[in-house]
Amino acid sequence: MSWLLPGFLGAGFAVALPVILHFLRSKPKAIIDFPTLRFLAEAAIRDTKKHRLRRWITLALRCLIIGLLAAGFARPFFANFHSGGGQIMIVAVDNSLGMQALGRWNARRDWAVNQLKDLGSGDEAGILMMQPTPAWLAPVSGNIEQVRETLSAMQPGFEKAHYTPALRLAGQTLAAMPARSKTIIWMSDEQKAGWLGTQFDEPLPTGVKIRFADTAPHPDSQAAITTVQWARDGFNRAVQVNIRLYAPDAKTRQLTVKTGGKVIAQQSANLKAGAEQAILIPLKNASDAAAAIHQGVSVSMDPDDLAADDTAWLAPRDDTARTVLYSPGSGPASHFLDHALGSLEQFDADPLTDQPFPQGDWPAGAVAIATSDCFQPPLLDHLNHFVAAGGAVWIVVDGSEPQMQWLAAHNVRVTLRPQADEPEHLRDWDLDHPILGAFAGQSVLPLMEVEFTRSFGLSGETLTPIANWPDGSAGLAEMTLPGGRAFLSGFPLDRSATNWPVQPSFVPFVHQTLRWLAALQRTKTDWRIGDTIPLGDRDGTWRAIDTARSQPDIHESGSVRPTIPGLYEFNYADGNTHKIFAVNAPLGQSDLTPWPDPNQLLALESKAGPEKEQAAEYTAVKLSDEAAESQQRLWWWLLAIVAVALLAELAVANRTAV
Amino acid sequence: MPSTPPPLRRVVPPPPPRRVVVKPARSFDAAPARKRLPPLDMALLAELPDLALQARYMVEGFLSGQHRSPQKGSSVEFAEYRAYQPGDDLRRVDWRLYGRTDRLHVKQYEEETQLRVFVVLDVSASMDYRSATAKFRKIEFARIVLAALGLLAQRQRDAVGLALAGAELKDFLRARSSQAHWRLFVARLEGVIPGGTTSLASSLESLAELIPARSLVVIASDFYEDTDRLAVALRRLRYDHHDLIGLHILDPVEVDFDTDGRGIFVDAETGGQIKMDAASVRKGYLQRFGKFCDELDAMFRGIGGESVRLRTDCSPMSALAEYLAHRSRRL
Repeated sequence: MSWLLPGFLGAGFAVALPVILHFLRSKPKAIIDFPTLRFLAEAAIRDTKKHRLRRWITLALRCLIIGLLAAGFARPFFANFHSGGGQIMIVAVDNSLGMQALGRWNARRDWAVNQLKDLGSGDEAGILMMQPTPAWLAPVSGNIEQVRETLSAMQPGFEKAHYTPALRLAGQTLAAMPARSKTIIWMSDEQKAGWLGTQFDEPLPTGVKIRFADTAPHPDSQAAITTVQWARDGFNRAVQVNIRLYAPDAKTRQLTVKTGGKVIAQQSANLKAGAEQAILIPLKNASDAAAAIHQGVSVSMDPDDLAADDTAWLAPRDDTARTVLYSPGSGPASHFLDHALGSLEQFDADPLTDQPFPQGDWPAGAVAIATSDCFQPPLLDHLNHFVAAGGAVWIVVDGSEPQMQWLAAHNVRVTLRPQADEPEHLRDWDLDHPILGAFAGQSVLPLMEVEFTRSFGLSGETLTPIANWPDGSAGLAEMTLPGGRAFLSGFPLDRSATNWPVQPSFVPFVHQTLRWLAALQRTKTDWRIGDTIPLGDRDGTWRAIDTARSQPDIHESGSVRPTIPGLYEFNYADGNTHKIFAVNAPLGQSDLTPWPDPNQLLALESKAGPEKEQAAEYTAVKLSDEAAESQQRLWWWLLAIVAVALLAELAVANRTAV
Repeated sequence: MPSTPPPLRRVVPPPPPRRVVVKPARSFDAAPARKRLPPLDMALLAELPDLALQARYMVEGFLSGQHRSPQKGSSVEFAEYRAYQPGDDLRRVDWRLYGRTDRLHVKQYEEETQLRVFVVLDVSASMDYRSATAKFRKIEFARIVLAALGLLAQRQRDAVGLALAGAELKDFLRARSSQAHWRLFVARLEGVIPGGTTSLASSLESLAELIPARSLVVIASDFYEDTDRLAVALRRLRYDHHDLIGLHILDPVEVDFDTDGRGIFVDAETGGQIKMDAASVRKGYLQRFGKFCDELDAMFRGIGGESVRLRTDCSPMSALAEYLAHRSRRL
């Protein structure tokens, strides 16, 4: 039995008070003559004995009450004398992809569970997941058995290894907790990628120890599919697979492409360690290729020691983000644009495709170049729908009345600038804007030499100027629309207004502008574990189509963060639209190389001197006593006994008159 | 010729009246020395004439019940001799004495008594008790009642005797009906010094040897006696055809135990001490005391006598009158 506040035990001397009062109490001295005691003697003797016994019981109860009160205020507790007393262990679980390497997870999980066997009653443990950000799977508590069960039931993850945040959080958590022993059970494979960026010169807090498992053996066979993308092999659709071989130095692997569970292509690849290799797998069957483009594919190779990165998924190709809608042949300007777009296809591996405005709604992911005809029926309605749906528009301001009215409705004022004797130039270029990216690293002189003879000044709160006219009004500006963005050029794209279409900077400018606008619309297809996929404001069902592990359907809105790689489908609640997402293992996690210097890991423990360690241990002991007392709460029981004793004392004392 | 009276024989002086030599009361060592009781309150007895008519009627009835004795109308108690005088009834000449002394002597007998009433007074220390609510000490109360009974008997020309019971028979006064005897009776009552323990049974057994048969024995006591022994003594009296009346003299505290006293209770006779709270033992006391009284009543009824409880917080005359009236109705 130990006492948290032993000074209160001094109050126990107060038991002398009832003892003194007991012996100094006023005893009845009155002499009462009575004819005979023959009717009293038997009862009186019995009652006298009873009273004497009750008096002693009362005295004992009073002493007990005082003693228990003193003991209760002294906060008693049973200190843990066994070896595991007052320990706290935090199991930091590396749920990164690398832990799925052959045998690593089970070996380290068993090792971690075995470490917890040292814990006993009064000890505490918790589980901290390392990735993607440190999170408590089981908060630190005294329920050791639950921690063991949770740990035993865990499965490895696919996250990107990053150890430092979890290490610091575990260290800080332990430092703030009272315990005789504070230990981090580091359940990890010490992957080099996970330790990158760690400040090894910053040790853990004083008193916090860390235990590492044995170094994992290097895998015999390890290769990973890093990226998969759509490509072309001549006239055939193809899948380009990038693979990196880590071990052994060379090996032939069989690649298989599936769509909807059907093998549509197979190919052998001779892999060599070192640089990443790109392997083109043509989809020779047109129907299979069409199905693959529509449904997405999975590419896998022969499993090796780390099978989790031997399969990758590719979402269906989204062509709408590569479409430029405009009105070819509608005027001189269209010829220059048509020429510029056509020239891009010559050297762009992923070119933008131009096409005229369709009869119906414009594709949501396309980029529209809106000239004067777009602001008149019937294209005006489609333009409004397109903009409302978040479409990206390049508005070529030509001063037509419908166009000016539409812009005025969107809080943009267009002013025909007076024609000067000399051509004017744009100035105040915002070289940080993406559409000027092609010039920012070179020279902006080609832009500044462009002459303008007919121009419109743009102004409005929704505009962000990119280049201004000499009078300060915007000549090129970015416009914020309710659903998306627009780019405004304050001059017609013909020779009557400017000589830009015949300048060398025109095609790069057009290309960069359209690419920027298209990028606003393009849906990212290369999602990785750890990414948060935006789903929009509409509700829908997130469903796994083909994943490494089975996943239940979930109702989501806003965003989703997959933890299992695979092919997913999000069906919007309206039932008309859906999107398919491919989620793959994180990049850079397939290299299972451990941290090269184990001594650095061991150096993470505090190097505080013996005095500081002793002081920390003393503090830990004191705090541990408080923790033990807090857990046991014996004082509560003592006070409960006091309450019962008080009632008993009251009952007995009231029957002890003499 | 003048008749010569026969020579009287030598007259032998008659033996003195039998007196029981009673040992002085043995005072109880533990008990404090007792003082003589105050004289009898003659004012109370002075009220007796008023009570007399009522009492006499009751007593007559009471006595009439006792006259179914074969000794009725006869004087059986020899008093003294006196010289013969002319006119004396020759049947009363003691010829045997004449034969011895040649002188004529006439036997003189006690006046004829219809009844001999012996009152027995318990003079133990337990009778020397008076609580705050009582009007008299128990022994004072008993004295008054017994004096009243004696006075009633004396007025009815009945003989009344007295016995003082303590650890043994302390004093005995033979039954007489003379005025002088009455004064002696009263003097003996006034001279009572209570104290010591009680052995009423042995006192009554001694008394049974002294009194003639067919007497009325009135016992005034608290009867704190072993009931088995007491029953034997009462049966012994009853064997001699005595009529037995027990006056159970009780202090109100003894009856009700209505006291909240806390302290050391001291037994008046034994000096035993018990420290206790009266309230805590009252229930048990009343149970045991009630049982004792019931046993006492049953014992008197069992031997053909009767007992009556008289509380000292009541008027002794009223209590006596009430009892006698009740008794006369029953007889």
